[in-house]
Amino acid sequence: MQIEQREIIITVGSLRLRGRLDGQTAPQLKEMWHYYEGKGINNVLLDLHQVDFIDSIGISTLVSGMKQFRARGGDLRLVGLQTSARSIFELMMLDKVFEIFDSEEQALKGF
Amino acid sequence: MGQEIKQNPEQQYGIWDWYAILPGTQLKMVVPARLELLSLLGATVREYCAALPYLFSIAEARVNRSTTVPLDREQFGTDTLTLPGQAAVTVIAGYSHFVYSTELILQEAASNIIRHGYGSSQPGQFLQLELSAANVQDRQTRLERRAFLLQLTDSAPPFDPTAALLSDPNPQEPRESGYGIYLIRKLTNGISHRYEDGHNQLLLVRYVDTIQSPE
Repeated sequence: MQIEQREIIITVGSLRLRGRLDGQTAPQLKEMWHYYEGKGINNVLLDLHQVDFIDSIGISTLVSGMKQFRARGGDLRLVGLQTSARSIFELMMLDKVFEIFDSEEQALKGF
Repeated sequence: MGQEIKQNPEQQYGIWDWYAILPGTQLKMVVPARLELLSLLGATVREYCAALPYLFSIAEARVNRSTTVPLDREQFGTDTLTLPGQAAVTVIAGYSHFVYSTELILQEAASNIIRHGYGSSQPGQFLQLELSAANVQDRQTRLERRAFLLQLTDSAPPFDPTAALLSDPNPQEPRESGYGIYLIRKLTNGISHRYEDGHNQLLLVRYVDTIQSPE
């Protein structure tokens, strides 16, 4: 028997946002999707603990990012979505689309 | 002070037959149609919503008895709201969500007007925001309800958000746009739009509670 031992390290991008995620600020996040694409990073954690407002353009940016990462075999996982924003996600059934976690630790487990 | 009672002539997406704005509760502001000012409008609507229980209790101070009103749990996350006759406020769980989602409605409606209505012709254009507390008669139940009214007036080309056809979101195929008007419709109890004298007038209605006569 031959045993070939390898260790594979998967790079996970981690972003922590603070403030409002809306039409004014969403383009900054979109740039980060391009950044990760350029680096070949397809798994990303997005910490939203300190995001107090998300509008429809912010939501669209999250959905388009998630689709891009999944198309490349990765995922965009959300961490710490605040209660009000979460209920808006539920209204649009996006809680069934995104994987949403309470902590970064939990979100890292499945990768 | 007498109340001016307004009929709902449009009845497009409206669910009320008439509304009467409570005297002394109106806040009107006119700002340049600029995206940078949306957060200012948002802060204004947040503060206004926070004061809304006071505005109702002041307007109804004549009753001078506390009134417990049932709320729509799905919308507010709680069953009742106690409005004292005097100006004191019972903070209720779930009200913060009402404030949040009201700011969201404003953000979506105003952002639509600035981005799509005015588009590249924004410079020199204005947007008028009017907030008020009102009594509204619900068409189906015939009950008189307390409501928060948000009216936006602009001089962009006619656009009627009540006319847009919307499909429900599909979690299997999440879309990347079109959330704005969907949110506005989902989070309001009534919308009316009219285009008159070169102005779009968009009226958004959210019930705050159902009025019950004090025991």
